[in-house]
Order: sequence, then C-alpha cells, then structure tokens
Amino acid sequence: MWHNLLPDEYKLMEPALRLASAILDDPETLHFFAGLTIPTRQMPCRMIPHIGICPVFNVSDPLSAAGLRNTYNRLVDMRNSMRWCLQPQEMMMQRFGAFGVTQAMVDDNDNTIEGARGPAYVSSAFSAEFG
Amino acid sequence: MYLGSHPSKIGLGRFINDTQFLAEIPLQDTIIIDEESAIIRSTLLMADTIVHEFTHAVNAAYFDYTAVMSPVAGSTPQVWEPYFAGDRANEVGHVVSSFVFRGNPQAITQFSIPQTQLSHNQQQHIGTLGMFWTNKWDRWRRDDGGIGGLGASRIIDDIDFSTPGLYYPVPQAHTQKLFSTRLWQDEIHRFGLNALRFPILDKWAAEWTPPMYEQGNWGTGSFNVGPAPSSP
Repeated sequence: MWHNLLPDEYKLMEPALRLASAILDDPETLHFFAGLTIPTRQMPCRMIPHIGICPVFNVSDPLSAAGLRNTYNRLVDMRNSMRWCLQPQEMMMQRFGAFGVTQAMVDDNDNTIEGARGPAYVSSAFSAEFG
Repeated sequence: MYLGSHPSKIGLGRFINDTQFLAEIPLQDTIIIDEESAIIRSTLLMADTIVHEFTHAVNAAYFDYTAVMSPVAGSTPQVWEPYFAGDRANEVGHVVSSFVFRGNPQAITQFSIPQTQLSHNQQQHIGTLGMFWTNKWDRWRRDDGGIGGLGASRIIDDIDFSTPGLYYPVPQAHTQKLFSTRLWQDEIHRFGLNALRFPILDKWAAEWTPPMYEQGNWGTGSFNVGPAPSSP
C-alpha cells in the first residue's frame, strides 16, 4: 500500500486497478505483449530516410499454453523492473504536461538501471496523476 | 456504484454543474449528469492510463534501442519504441489502448475563460461531459525531429488530409459494462477483447480537423488571398 494513501482513496481507485489487471491478464492482451517483447533484432525494420531504422512489431501468432505463461511471467517480472507512484495533478501537468509518465529508473549515482535483458534496456518508473 | 456517500461526491456534483455553467450552456439546456456516471468514466480513464504507462515500462525493459541505432545522427538512437504495424508514429502506450479498446478513450471537454487550465485538466480526468475516441490515434502527428529525449516518438510520413479524422462517442452503457459481471463472467470468454472494444457508432461520428492543421485560409484549402469575389 502507498504511504499516506487513505483507505477511502484506495477504495475509489480499486476498480481502476482491477480493470487494468483484468485487461493485462487477458490472453488476447498477452498476444500483444508477446509481439512487443520479441528480441528487438528479430523485429522487421523499415528504413525511413529522416529517421533511420524503424523496427515494426505486431500481435504475436497464436501462442501455446507455455508461450502464454512465458509472456504472463514477463509482465509479472516487471515488478523487478519498475515502480510506480501517484503524484499531484498540478505537479504532473507542470513538469510533464501529461497524466502519466514513464521515466528511466536511475540508481544513486544517476546511472540508468538495467532492464530485463541487460545493459541496452532501461528499467522504468512511472507516475500517474492524483488530483 | 463506487461513490456511495463518499465525501468526493459533493465536490464532483458541483464541478459537473460548474462546468456546464461556465460553458455558458443556457439554463434550460443543462442536463443532469449523475456523479456516479462521472466517477465510472474517470475510473476507465485511470485504468487506461495505467495500462498505457505499464506498456511503456514493458517496452523500456525489453526493447534494445542499441539494435536500431541509426547512422543518421551519429550515436544518437533514433527510436525508443517500435512501430505497431501500419502506424505512422511509435508510441506503444497509445497502441495498446487502441488494441484493447479500439481507440484511446478521451474526455469531452469544454474550455473557455474564466475556466482555469487546472479545471480543464480536471475535466480531462473526470470525463465530466462524456468521452470520445478517434479512429486513428496518430492521425494528426507531425514529426518534431525526435526532440524530447527518452521516449520521443517519430513520425514516418506526412499527414493524409485526403480523408477525414473520425471522432466517435463512447456510450455510457459501454463504459459501465466494463465493470459488470456480464462482461467478465460471460462476454469476455465468448468474444475476447471484442467485448471491451468501443462500438463504432457511425451515425454519431464527427469529422474534425484541429484548427492549426486546417489547410489554407480558414480551412478553405487555398493559401491565396486572391481577388475579392465579384458581386453577382
């Protein structure tokens, strides 16, 4: 539970947390994340002159039960790669102009913390607005 | 459903009425918008934000941006996220929301002086006046050269002005279905995510071009001032 969050406030948020969880649990959603998390070098690429290499992903082909479990575990493993917190609305709008933001997580020396697959990946922290 | 006698209810009711008042809706045309309906829209918007940001986080933890370093700008990585097939922009948060709901749910808002920016943001949170979704989330995006650092999205082509951008309302009945046992004990097992996706109400669709993107003078398509039209 978040520090300083009142039981009444959690009660208001809970349906949103449950809906988000139900969406992320869904097998169809897992096919989306299976497509998103294939090794980057296996993604087909487009060469766009003013940008450069643009990797393209798609929803995964039908997964076996083991494949689904594997993808589900990747989402659960995000517990090791992210943390999230709630911030006041005014601060979010002033600093980010957004209701939610995902940022790279840094250690005490301001170095980006490694992501799930090693140094080329970033771990992330995200804040959602609380107003 | 969720508010009951929660103390937020009074403030929310006031905010709903104030929004209509400040929008200068004539008194006889204001409608009763139930606080419960607003908190349910707000709940959907929050769930959408959570899924949106979580997807950015998953991408950040699994996407190897060093694999797509471009020669174009030296060692600066050009893209932080992959493109979903067929999209113009790379922004996995908007992509996941379009995948789950068919489009990104957004609050219908009204903003004019003397409302504050904060009260406008609050409308965006609460969905005071209802919600809409658009048929393509990256419809009006223009490439900004990737300024904005980590997470900046890049746009691969110019805006297509030959077809209209379509805006659909989200029926309140659908929003409330998302929190029903009918959906989670029955429909989800039979229809999958299609049971969550917003219905396409063609007859209620609106075409809209953001003012700054209108082509020509006052959206006429012509940039020429030209001679004044001759009188008949």
